[in-house]
Amino acid sequence: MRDSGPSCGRQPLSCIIPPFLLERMAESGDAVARRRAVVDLAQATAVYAVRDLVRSMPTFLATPSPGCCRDRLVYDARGRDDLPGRLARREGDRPGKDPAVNEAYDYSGATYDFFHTLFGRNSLDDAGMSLISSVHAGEADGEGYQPMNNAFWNGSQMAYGDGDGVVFERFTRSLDVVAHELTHGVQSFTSNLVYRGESGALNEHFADVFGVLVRQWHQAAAATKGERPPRSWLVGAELVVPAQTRRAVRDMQHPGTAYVDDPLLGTDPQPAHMKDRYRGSADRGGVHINSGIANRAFVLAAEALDDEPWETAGRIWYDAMLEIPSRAGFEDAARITVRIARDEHGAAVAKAVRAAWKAVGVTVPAARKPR
Amino acid sequence: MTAAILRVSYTESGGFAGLVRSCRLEAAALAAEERALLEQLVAAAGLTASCECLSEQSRDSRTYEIVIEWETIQIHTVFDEPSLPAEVRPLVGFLRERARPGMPT
Repeated sequence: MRDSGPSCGRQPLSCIIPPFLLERMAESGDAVARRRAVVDLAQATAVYAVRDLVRSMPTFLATPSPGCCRDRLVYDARGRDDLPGRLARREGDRPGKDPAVNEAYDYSGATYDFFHTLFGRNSLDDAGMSLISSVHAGEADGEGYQPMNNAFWNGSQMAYGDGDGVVFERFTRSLDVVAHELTHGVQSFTSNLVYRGESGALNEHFADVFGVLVRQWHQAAAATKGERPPRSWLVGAELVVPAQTRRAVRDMQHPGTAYVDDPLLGTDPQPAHMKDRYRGSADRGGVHINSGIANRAFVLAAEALDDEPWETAGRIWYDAMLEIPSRAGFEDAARITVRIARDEHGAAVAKAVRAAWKAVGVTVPAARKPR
Repeated sequence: MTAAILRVSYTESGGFAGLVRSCRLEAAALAAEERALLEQLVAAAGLTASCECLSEQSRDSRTYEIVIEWETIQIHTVFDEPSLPAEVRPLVGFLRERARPGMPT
């Protein structure tokens, strides 16, 4: 965020201080200097070697929790962009009157519980780091501040805007949005897929997968006995202001259909197949666009299996998220998920996963039988 | 800044929603007042060299691509929300108001 230190190009510090000095500062014993240097390093985009260094040390940005267990801190940014803002609710506090604070608290807790219960993961770094959220984040427009029409993970915390009220409501309304942002956090401590092109689309894909799985799992847990909540693959359905031309931000099952001919949003650009993948430069090479291809592969795999999506399919994708190389593409993701499926869940599951990728245009050669 | 030829192309993309909005403005085709404002904002932005400034850690930040064609010079810049300089924000605000959904044509 803007308080994190100067940024590249137009503001001087990160361009004046040579990378080797920033690297030294990043290893400093002084927490403030270290944090500032790490962010400056992250923004010194002209120095690609430095980028690799930053990728390898996200732990510098983690805030350890006091008890190394679930620890949520929700701040009120009060319409500004200098994060985190004023502390509004900490772990164990009772709900207050602000729904955004309560949603950020509850949904980050649900996400922590999902990863902990199903995969034994202790927070984003698997070492109990605090889950820091800022709500009511604003964005500067050159004249002042307006409610942010977005949600993001900045490398150390989540930030949620209140939306414009025309297209988007407040971003904490959707559990899958909160879980999406937190999954970016998990990835920054695991695969850290480079946020550009196919690897960036996979980064978005894993965030969408676990965003939706957290919601489905949470809804199933909240359902009364015997009741089966309808399974939805929409991302951000509660976030969009209802209109005939829009029903969500993305549709993992049917990419490209979440909004159509919307006067303010246009038409959902996500492809559902490799033959239609976006090849332009916008959106860092289509990280939010081409993720639709992998999203559909996941849904096809999950729907082909007999259990709940967060069980076998979720487990395969979680294991893949941990081991996939940072510069992986769709073929790598397909190969890794098929291998994990075969090794951990058997040939029938591997066949379903392979078929799912093939349906979206990503082919994984069948393993040769040993002679 | 008095420019005989000034064109500005703008593409905003990314953010959690991954929306793409764009516009392409020809200063000569704008009303005098709007043209003067665009020239003023371009000058105030101080974008004198092409650059790509994207933060490494941030996820779901919006990306702003601005291409300025001025006489024979073309400057191509890409920023994201954390790296967007304060002096460029007014220009981005101006361009955002004129952007429409979809990729640039």
